[in-house]
Formats: sequence, C-alpha cells, structure tokens
Amino acid sequence: MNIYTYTILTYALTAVISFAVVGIIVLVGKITSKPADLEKEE
Amino acid sequence: MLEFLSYLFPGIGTLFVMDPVTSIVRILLIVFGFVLAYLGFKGTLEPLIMIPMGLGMIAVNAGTMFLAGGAIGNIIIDPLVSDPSAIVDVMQVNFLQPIYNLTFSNGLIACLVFMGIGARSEISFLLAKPWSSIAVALFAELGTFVTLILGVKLFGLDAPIAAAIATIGGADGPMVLVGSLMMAPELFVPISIIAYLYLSLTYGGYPFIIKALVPKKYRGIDMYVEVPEVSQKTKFTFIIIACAFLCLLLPVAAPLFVSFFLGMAVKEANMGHYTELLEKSLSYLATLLLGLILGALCEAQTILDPQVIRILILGILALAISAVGGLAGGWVMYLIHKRKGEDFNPTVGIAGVSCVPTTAKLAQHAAQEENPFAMILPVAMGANISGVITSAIATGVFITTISMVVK
Amino acid sequence: MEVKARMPGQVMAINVAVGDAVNAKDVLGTIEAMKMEQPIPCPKAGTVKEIKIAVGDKVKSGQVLFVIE
Repeated sequence: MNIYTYTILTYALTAVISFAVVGIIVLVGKITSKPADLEKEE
Repeated sequence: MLEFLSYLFPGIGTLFVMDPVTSIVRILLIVFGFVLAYLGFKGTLEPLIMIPMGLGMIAVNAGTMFLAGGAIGNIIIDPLVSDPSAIVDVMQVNFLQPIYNLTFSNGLIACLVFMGIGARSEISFLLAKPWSSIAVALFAELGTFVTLILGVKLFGLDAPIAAAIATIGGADGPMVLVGSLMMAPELFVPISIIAYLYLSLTYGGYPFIIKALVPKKYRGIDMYVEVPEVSQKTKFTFIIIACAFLCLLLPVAAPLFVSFFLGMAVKEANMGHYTELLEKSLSYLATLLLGLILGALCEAQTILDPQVIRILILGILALAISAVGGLAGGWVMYLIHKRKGEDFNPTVGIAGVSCVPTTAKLAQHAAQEENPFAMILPVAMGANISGVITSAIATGVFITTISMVVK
Repeated sequence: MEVKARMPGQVMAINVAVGDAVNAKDVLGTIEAMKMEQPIPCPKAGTVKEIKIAVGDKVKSGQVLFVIE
C-alpha cells in the first residue's frame, strides 16, 4: 500500500479508536449514574 | 612531554588522537550540554529533563579515555554493546550501562514515566466536553501523519524511520521513545533527544503560533463549563474497560496502555501510598534516569549520523503542524458551538498537542492575557488528556501496521 | 448569587470583606490552580453577603466561594 493510502487509513483508524474510547467513558458515566437516579426515585 | 600529559589527562588527550571532526563535535556537544543544563536551570527549558541530560552530555563527551585494547571510550555507557556476555561484562564497569540495557530497549523506562503521567491525569476534565476534547486532540495529531508523508516523500526515508520521527508530532516523550525503539532502533538516540528538546521548546514557540492563528478578540472567549462530579467508581470502571479495549486492539502498545491506566487507576482507587509512589518517586526517578541516559548516549561518535539533520527538520515540522492542526480543530469546534449558540475558545486547540500540562497552561495564559477572567483551563486540560490518548493510539497503530507500507 | 470555583485549587487571597460593596468584574479573590493564579471575578454589582472560604483552603470545582446580594 502506498504511503498516502496508509497515512489516511491510519489517521482514520486512530480517529475511530479514539472516539470509541471516549464513547466508553460517556457510556460508563451514563450507566453508573442511571442506577443512582433510579435509586433516588424510589 | 606532550604524550605524557595526554595520558595524564585522557579527556583532553583523546581529543588529539581522534579524527578532527569527532573531536570538534565532542567539544560542541560539551558546550551544548552546558547550554541545555543552564537553560534548564533558568527554567527556559524543562529542568527535570534538561539538567540531567546536559550533565550527561558533558560527562560523556568530556570524560573520554583510552580503554584497553587501544579503544577510545568512556566508562559511563556504551550504546553499541549487543552480545549478551559482553553486555554483562560491561555492566560491571559502566555505571549507567545496567539501567540502559535493562530499561531502554524494552521500553521499561518509558512505561515508568507514562505511569507517572497517568497518575496525574484527571479524567473528569475530559468529561466536561468529551467529544470536543477528542476532536481537538485528533486535529492536533495532524503533524504526526503529515510528517510521515514528508519523511517518506521529501527525504526518501523508509516508512518505519519516518514513522518513528513522525511520532514527535504527538508531543509525548515516552511515545517517541517506544516508537523509535520499535520502528527505528538505530536512530532512537537522536530521535528521542531531539523530541525531548523540541518538547521543552514548545513553551517558547507555541505562543507565537497561537497569536498568529487566533485573533485577539477570540483568544479571550470565556467558557463556562461544568466539570461534572464524576464518581471514582465511574472513572475506575472506564479505566479498566478502556485498558482492556486498547490492549485487545493494539497489543504491541499494551505495555504503554497498561502503564498509563495503572497510573490512573492507582489515583482513582485512592491508594495513597501507591499514588504517591507513582506520581512522585517512580516518575521522578524514571525522568531523572531518562534525562541522564539520553544525555550520556549523546556521544560524538553516535551522534554523527547524517540522518540527524533530517530528524531535526522533520521534528520541528511535526510539532509545528500539530500546533496548527490543533488550532484548526479549535476553530472547527468554535464554529460548531456557535451554531448551537454556545461559546468555545479556539485557543483550546493548542492543548490538543499532548504536552501535559504545558500546552493547556499555554492556552489558559493566552486567554488570560486578553481576558483576565477567562477560565478555559478545564476544557484545555480535557483536550490535553485526550491528546495523550490519541498520541498513544496513533503510535500503537503505527507500530502495529507500519510493515504494511511498501514505498 | 453564588460565586463558584471553576477549577480545583487553593485559595491564595481574599480581597473583600462581608458587607463590602462590589461591582461587576471586581476581583474578589485569587485561587491557585495547577500553579497558575486565577482571579475570581464578581459577576454583578452588589454587596458581599457571605465569604465561605479562607486563605489556604483547598477548593473543588463548583464549590461556592462567595455569596453576593
């Protein structure tokens, strides 16, 4: 694969993985605060 | 008589015996060592690295002597020894050899520094504006990728070497160390030294780039963000999931990931003694030894590689382009937020270049200059930490996939 | 109206006393965050009703520092 294709693909891959990592933290945040809210409502 | 004197003071004597170019470079490196150590002392450059590095550089280039068998060298470190039994022999003589052979090529020293960085990273800043932070950090990674292309196309370098140099654009010392050890081992000394040097210089150079790309009235924009009160349970859960996720995807960079997340985990789990160990003792010890050994590796003979000029040029390009990229990202976020009627200070972009916390503070300084009440530090720190994550991922991706490039 | 800390840090200085008349943009105090000094601005004109912190206190993000009427 030539260097231009490679660079674009790796940049894209880095972006996807990075967003996934942030997605994990946002998700974890939502999940761990949801049970707390449900508990409060009771 | 002269011969007698040169044996009495071999540091000077060897200067006359070596070929003139090497001797001159030795003297220049001694001077350069002075400069680095002194600027570190004054605070212009990062003292934690520059003072040991400068002194190591001086010691190695001044303390040269006649060794057994007619060789010329020093008893501080020998970077070229590779045969295992020779290594064991030399480790009993050269005082930095054991640390070099046992913590460098396996990346241990980089990982120890990285643990310290993790122990100081407060992830709740990232949660204030998670998507903007990571987006800005990705823009700030531009230098890395552009430099890869420049290295291959403009300088005709092999992809792995270009990639190793390109990691300088990630502005993350340990990453560059590991990246160059894995992709360009013969050049890891000049690449790492130049990386650390330039990273120290960002403090001086970046403000100009900020002023050039962000006009005054935009620099002072204030952002009222709520740094959410994130429970340690949340943070800890994220840490262990993210660690597993990244190690699964990029096992080649697993040592780095586990070190970073271990540092963070120890901080979040309130393990007082461990936190102090990682945040203070371990990370300062690793940084001290790293600086000292990098300086000591800067022997005239090792450094006289024609590639050094290319590394100097590509390195500065990488960091400059990353700065521009980061600020461009800042502008994009500004526009996106404007559509939603919210404020965003484009200067935050520079914090995406992951020199923690230097670039975040630079952003805050720049904003405060125009608006003394502006407080963009929380968002800038979020971008900073995102920057560390993206740099780690980018380096990991390179190391894992670089063999797929055919020129 | 409550004036809150925007970054975790340590209170370096308090420039007002309870009962002082203050204007918008007056500096109520200084907080040191990440080795940087941050002034705490007053958001609107009024009188200082409460000072909830003392010099040397460590404050968290969002913590109430002053109450202005």
